Amino acid sequence: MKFNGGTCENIYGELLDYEIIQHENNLITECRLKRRIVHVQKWIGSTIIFTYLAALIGVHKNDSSLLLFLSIILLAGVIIKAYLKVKRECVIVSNQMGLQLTTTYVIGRQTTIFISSNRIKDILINEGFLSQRLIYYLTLIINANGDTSMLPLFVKLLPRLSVLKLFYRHLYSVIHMKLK
Amino acid sequence: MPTAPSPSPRPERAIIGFFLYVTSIFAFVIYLLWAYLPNNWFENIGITYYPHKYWSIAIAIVVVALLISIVLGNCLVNSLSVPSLDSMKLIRDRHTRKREFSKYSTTDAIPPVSDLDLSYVNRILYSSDIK
Repeated sequence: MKFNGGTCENIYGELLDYEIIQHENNLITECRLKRRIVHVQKWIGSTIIFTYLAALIGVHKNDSSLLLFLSIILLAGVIIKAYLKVKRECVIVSNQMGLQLTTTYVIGRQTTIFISSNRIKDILINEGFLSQRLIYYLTLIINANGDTSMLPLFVKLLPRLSVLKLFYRHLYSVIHMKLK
Repeated sequence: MPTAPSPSPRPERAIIGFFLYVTSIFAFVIYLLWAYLPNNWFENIGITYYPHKYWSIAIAIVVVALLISIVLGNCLVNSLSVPSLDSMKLIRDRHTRKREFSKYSTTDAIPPVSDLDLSYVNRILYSSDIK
């Protein structure tokens, strides 16, 4: 097993850790992207400020139903944010088996997508639009029942071009490797 | 061949622009006079059939709301008409020219202009070996 790792940046400026692991004599390659620790200080600071403002307005002096309603909304917001926030994305490729993309969320939930190698056509770095920005992202071209479609990888964490180039070189050599 | 529309200045555009400039200044002065002068002054002159003063405030609010919503609406229409990240329109759409493979490398002539294959471009730009 060979490791190759480091730190890179998001398109939004957050720090990510990346790792490229070669298993099994160059037959299986794994590319991992992990978000660093979530900012706890920012959350605690904004919570203190908002509770101070709410106490200043006098939310607690009114009927307690409004306070209950507000705190339920805030709690729901926190839970939804933790449910949707991505902690780690991992792509495992083998030339004979296929590609598996695993997304791990903050609360521990994991979703996987597996594409078998007879459906994989190509891997590319493509440019696309995301919320009025032009970004580079890694994408897989799949042959699904005769018509081609695209599967973008690493779209929740969105690393910058330098890491994408590194991933592209490793994944391309695995996908298009011809056995002698 | 029909000429493409261009934003260069032309005599008709100059006349239209000047007319709009004078008209807009005139309409603004009339609006200010109607909104600020009391109703007695109009009746003394003889003008009795004019809109209710309520509309002066309504027009002003509509203009401000239109300014904000046109800017916002433009940005929203742009965001909606853009293809998503997993659509194949980002690689080829109705304007791409496919390469003809029939006359490939048989003559010395320059081949017709066509779009390069995206995987070939990626290999040249991003991978360390060039094929």
